[in-house]
Amino acid sequence: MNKYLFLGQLQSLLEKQLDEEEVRRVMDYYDNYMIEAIEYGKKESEVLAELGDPEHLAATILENLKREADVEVKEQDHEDEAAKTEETERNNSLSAAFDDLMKSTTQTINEAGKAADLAAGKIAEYFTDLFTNETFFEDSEQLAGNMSVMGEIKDGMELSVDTYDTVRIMLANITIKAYFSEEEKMRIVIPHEKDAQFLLEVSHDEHTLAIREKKARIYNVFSSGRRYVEIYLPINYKGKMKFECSNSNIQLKGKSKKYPGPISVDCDNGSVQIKDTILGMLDVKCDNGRIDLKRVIAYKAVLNCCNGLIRYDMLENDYAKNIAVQAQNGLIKINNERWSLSRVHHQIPARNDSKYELSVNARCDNGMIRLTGF
Amino acid sequence: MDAQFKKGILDLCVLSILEKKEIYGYGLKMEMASLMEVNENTLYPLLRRLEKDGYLKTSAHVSDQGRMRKYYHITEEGKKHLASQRVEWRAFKQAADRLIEGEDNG
Repeated sequence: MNKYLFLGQLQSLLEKQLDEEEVRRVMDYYDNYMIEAIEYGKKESEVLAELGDPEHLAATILENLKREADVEVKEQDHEDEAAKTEETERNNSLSAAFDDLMKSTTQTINEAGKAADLAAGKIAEYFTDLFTNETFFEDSEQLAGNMSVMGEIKDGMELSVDTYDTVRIMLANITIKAYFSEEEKMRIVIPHEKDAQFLLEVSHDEHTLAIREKKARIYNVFSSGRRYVEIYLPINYKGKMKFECSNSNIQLKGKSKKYPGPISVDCDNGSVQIKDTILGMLDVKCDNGRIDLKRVIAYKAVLNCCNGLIRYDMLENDYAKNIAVQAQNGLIKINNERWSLSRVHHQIPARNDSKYELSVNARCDNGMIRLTGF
Repeated sequence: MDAQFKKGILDLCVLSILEKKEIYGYGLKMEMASLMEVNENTLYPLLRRLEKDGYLKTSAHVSDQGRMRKYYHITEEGKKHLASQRVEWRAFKQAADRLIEGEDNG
């Protein structure tokens, strides 16, 4: 049991008998309570032990709320109570099995990790050599702990981003639909479906604007499809745009008239789809996932996807200079299409053979590389 | 201890702590725990009731760690309520002392 699992269980138990506002209050309290306890120096496991079993806690909160604070508590439906208990038990045993699996998997991964670290060192060297003029790789900075919170993101909220060097979008288990737009400001649209409800928080320091989920509820991998957020990116923004979103599906598209700033996407176990666009520098990392670029032109593209699939359907042009692709145990397909550029973008000059310089570096251990149209 | 009785004392304690300073959820729990055994599942409903009765308010501000933190503080009405409860408590305490300790000469 961890904090999120605990809070998730508590929430679903309370939701059956309290209205939304009351549930939000209780969850707010216990979420804060746990964060504060941990800040105070307690271990997460200690706090969880103190709070006890979520079912017991939910039952006593409900009882006390009804008696003490005269809060309306709905009667529970007793008919399907047995079924629910059975379901909870099944979920519990499932979650125990999952925990076991995770434990043993982590062990195996740790061992494999040591060997992989050695190899990774060499690969990093290779890529650094490749882009010595502009180091596009950057160590993930410490999670912006000292950023000050600006507030919650409301549906359709607009954010002025041009004063920041970097915009970081840090979400997990979610589908992100990002579009380039003519708008000056970045706009975020959150769907209203009940299943998709979540709160986003925006924080910032001098250089960086960060967007993350305010309160992470428990989500399983399958819910990521239903949770989505739309982000309209201003094409005039010249700063860095970073997506740090594991287990997510990131879709990026839109006709860009001006070349946007560098974009980096880090999305383990997810998928990244980029369509019909011109990008400056693009850095995509998506282990165990899938990177799919369709009708894309990037000045420099670094695609990295161990155990996954990379497909880059690029447009033949003078603009693209460098492509570095790496997929251990994976599959790389790069297709250089001789399409009419005007179909997608008018701004890119057609290919001039005397100027055409494109370097492609594709690396793929235990996999397959297919280059076509070159 | 009788539930009703304990409830009154808990109210008094929470409001007394809040009278001195505003405090956040876990901080309150720690202060209370140093005085008496108090369970997490009683503290929240109690705070919720005091809030509903208008004796306390919550407000969020940024903590030293840069996180939004919810603080509880006492309202004017809460202070009045506390004052009247205090009078009652003193009267009760004196009576109880006399009875239990046999200080009927005082």
